[in-house]
Amino acid sequence: MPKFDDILDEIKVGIAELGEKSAKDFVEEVRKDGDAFLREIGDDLQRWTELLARKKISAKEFRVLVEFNRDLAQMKALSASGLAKKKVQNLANGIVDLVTKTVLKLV
Amino acid sequence: MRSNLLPRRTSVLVALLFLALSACKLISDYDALSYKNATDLRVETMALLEQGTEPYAGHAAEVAALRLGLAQAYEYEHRKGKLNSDSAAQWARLNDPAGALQHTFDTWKSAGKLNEAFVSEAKLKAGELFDEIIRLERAKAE
Repeated sequence: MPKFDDILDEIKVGIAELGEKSAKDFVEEVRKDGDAFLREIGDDLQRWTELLARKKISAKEFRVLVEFNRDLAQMKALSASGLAKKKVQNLANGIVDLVTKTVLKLV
Repeated sequence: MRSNLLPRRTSVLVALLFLALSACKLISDYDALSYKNATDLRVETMALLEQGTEPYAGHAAEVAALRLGLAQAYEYEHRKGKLNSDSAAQWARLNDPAGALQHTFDTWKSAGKLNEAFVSEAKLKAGELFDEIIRLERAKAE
C-alpha cells in the first residue's frame, strides 16, 4: 500500500496542473474581452457623434446610446463574475474527481 | 503505523471531499426555461424596436406587454436565490427605469417617433445586452 504522503504528492501535482490550465485560459479570455470592449466603445462614440452632428439622431437619443454602453459594461461584468464562479466550481469538482481517482488507484 | 492509519485518514479525506463538493456550489445550474425566456424576449425586443420609427401610440400596448415580459423574467431569475444573483442582476438592468432599454421606450413615447439611425444603433446594443444574459446561462451548462 502506498504511503499517504505519496498520494498527497500526486494529488498536489494534479491540482497544480489543473489550476494552471484554468487560470491561463481565464486570464487570456478576460484580456481578449477587455481589448475588444475598449475598441467597441471608441468606435461607437465616433459613429454616434457623427450621427448627432448630422442630426440623424436627437441629443436625447445620443444619451440613450451612451447609456447602452454603460449598461453593457455592467452586463459584461456580471457575465464575467458568473463565468468566474462557474470556472472555480468546475475546478473544485475537477479536484474532487482527481483526488477520488488518485486515492482509488493507489489504495 | 502509517499503513494502519491510512484507511482512517482516507475515510476522513473522502468525507472532506463530499463536504467540499457540497460547499463548492457557487452558481445556479443551467435552466432551459431561463434560456428560452432570454432568447424569446430578445426576438420580441428586436421586433418591437424595428417599429420604433412609427408613432408610439400604435405600439403602446406592445411596449407594455414587453415590459411585463421583462419584469416576469426578472422575477423568475430573482426567485432562484443567491446562486443566481448574477443573472438576476442582469435582468434587473434591463428592467431598471434608469437603464438604456427602458429609456428607449420612454424616449419613443415622449418624442412620438424614434429616428431611423437611432433604431438601428439601439437594436444592435439591446441585442448585445440580451446576448450577455444568454452567454451566462449557456456557460452554466459547461
